[in-house]
Amino acid sequence: MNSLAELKNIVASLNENITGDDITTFQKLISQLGQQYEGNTNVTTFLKMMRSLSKYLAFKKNNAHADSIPALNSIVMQLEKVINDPDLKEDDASQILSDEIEKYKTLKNKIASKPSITDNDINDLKAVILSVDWEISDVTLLNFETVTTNLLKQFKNYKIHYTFLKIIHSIGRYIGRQKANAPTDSISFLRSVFENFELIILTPEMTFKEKKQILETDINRFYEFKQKIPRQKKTTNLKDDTSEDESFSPALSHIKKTGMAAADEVVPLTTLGESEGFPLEEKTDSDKMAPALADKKSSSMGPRDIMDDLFSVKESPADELLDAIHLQDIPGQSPSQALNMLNQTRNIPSDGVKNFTPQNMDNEPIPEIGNRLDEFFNLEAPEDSDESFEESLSKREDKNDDSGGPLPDPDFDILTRLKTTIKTPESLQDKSSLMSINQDISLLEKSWQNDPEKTCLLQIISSLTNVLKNQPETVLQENKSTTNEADENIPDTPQEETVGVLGKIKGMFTS
Amino acid sequence: MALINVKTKEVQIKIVYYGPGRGGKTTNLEYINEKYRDQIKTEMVSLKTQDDRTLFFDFLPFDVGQIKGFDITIQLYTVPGQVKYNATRRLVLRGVDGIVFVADVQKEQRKKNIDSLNQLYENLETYNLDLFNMPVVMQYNKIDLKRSDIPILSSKTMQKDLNSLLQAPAFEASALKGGNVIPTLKKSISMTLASIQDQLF
Repeated sequence: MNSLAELKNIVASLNENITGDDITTFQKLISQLGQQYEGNTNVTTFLKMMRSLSKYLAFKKNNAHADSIPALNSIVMQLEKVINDPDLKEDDASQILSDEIEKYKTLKNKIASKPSITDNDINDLKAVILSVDWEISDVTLLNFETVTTNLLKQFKNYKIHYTFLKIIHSIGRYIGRQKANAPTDSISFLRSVFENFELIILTPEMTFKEKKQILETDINRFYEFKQKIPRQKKTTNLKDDTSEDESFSPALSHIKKTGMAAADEVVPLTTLGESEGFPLEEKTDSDKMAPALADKKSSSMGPRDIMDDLFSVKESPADELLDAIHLQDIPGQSPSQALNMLNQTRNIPSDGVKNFTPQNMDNEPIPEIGNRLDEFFNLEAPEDSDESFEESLSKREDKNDDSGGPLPDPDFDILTRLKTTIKTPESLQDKSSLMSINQDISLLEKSWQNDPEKTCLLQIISSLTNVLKNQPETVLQENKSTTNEADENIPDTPQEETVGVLGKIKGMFTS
Repeated sequence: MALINVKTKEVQIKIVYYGPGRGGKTTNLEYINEKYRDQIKTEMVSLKTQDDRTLFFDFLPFDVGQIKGFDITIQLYTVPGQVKYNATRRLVLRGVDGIVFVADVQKEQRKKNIDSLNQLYENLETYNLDLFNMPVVMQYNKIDLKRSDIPILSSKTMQKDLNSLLQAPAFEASALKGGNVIPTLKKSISMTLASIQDQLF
């Protein structure tokens, strides 16, 4: 095998792995060819380029620029053509040589130049990291993988950049695997590594030493982060067996070391139990159940188009907040920009408006606060109230005196009228009053037809009214005179001139 | 921060329900909205994902009436609880006046409760707010699960885990059934208003 054929074999093997032995053999073969073609300017120029590349490969080995082996291969192929093609004219040989020189120079420039990273590259990386911060979904993870893999290929030959990207890639992949179970600090760590990467890219005047120092700090942080992971895995596996005695550091203990109270000394807890009238039991089958798809149908407005809201007139703080969230989702927008936008809309100066940041100074609220809140929240719906009907009635009567209170309902008016009418026994003898009583009772019966207790009471009142109405007048008079006699025996007791129908009904139950 | 318009005598306070995912924050607001629909008179804004989880936040504004001549408006917000939505949580916390921390009493949620409270501290820090100086109310939700086979943490453990340093008023609750939902809210509003009453009344 001649020297040229051997050279071709070695270049082919360098494609797979660059070893020191191969390079030494390669350099020896170049020297042999140099001696063989001494005086042939074209060949010696080819050999000069090959020697130079071999020195570079000997130094860089597998970390050599990705284009260096293809360039070497091309030089060897063209050299073979120049040496072995008897029909090749001198001009054609010179042309081939100049083409190879051009390729060689391009490679040299590539090796010498600093990594070229465009604003788009940085923005793309920033966007995919922010999108992972925003939401860990299959789409955001796929974008992250695509962008980082491309950048890793692009920066394969630039150790510092490549290492930063490798860390970013590893953390991102870990978050992708863990999704919601990823430690809360993993995304902030990812962002901080990216910020350092961005810093070295955007600061061309930074020295190699400074870059290396930043990188080393991040490498150490990355190892610390990795060390934490197995511990968390262990904790997760043991989760099912954990008892309440297992020691967890209390929340905020890493912030405030002092003032930690023992469990028994912690501020009083408002418990929730059946003793307070709160039912803990599950709903029974008798509870009303909405039919299938009822909730779907009830929403006649349809789903709210969130993106449309961006262009609508802002009606509430919720709309402004939504805008800020959407702006944050736009690639290239940082959260602080979204926040600034929110600040601008909220801080429009308005006459008489003051902002206070509440500070919990353990102030006792003034009584008016408690009273107002009690009033607001204690307006229970009637069916929830466990107060008796009479109590409810009297309360409503009291409320009716308050001009600022809610308007009374029609039932209440009827009830008040009925109560007034049957207060006097004479009304039972008056036809129009009797008609009014019966009319009111039937109106209330109709209104309360779903409430058996109330309708039953109404029926009792109606029956008793009929009984009393049909009583001979003399009985009524006797009753009256008996009452008067009794009253005479106790002169100091305030006298009641008339006994109402309700009083008589009561008397019937108590006697 | 509480907005106070001294000219029109209006006060607006923002209370945020914070806590781990699926802890019952939205259920709290839904109960309040349902129970006091007549008094509240406004619409609850709720944006959920397909699996019924909070995507951005819930928003429920309402007026509680006048206190010493000032009209008081309360704005209730919830944050999305899932770990991945921290950016949104930070945004929702902007201008917060009071916090209701809704913790889940299920045993398996123990670490998430602690992590969430730690993260709340960090998120408030970005607005230069100190959780220890804020009106905070703790709510230990899903206490009704003690009737089922699901293992739950005792309130003593909840207090130790979450409240030994904060020492905030705490309520056991069942948001699904409304238990202690209103007392929690009343306490939060009351504490928040008390914290600005010196400037106000």
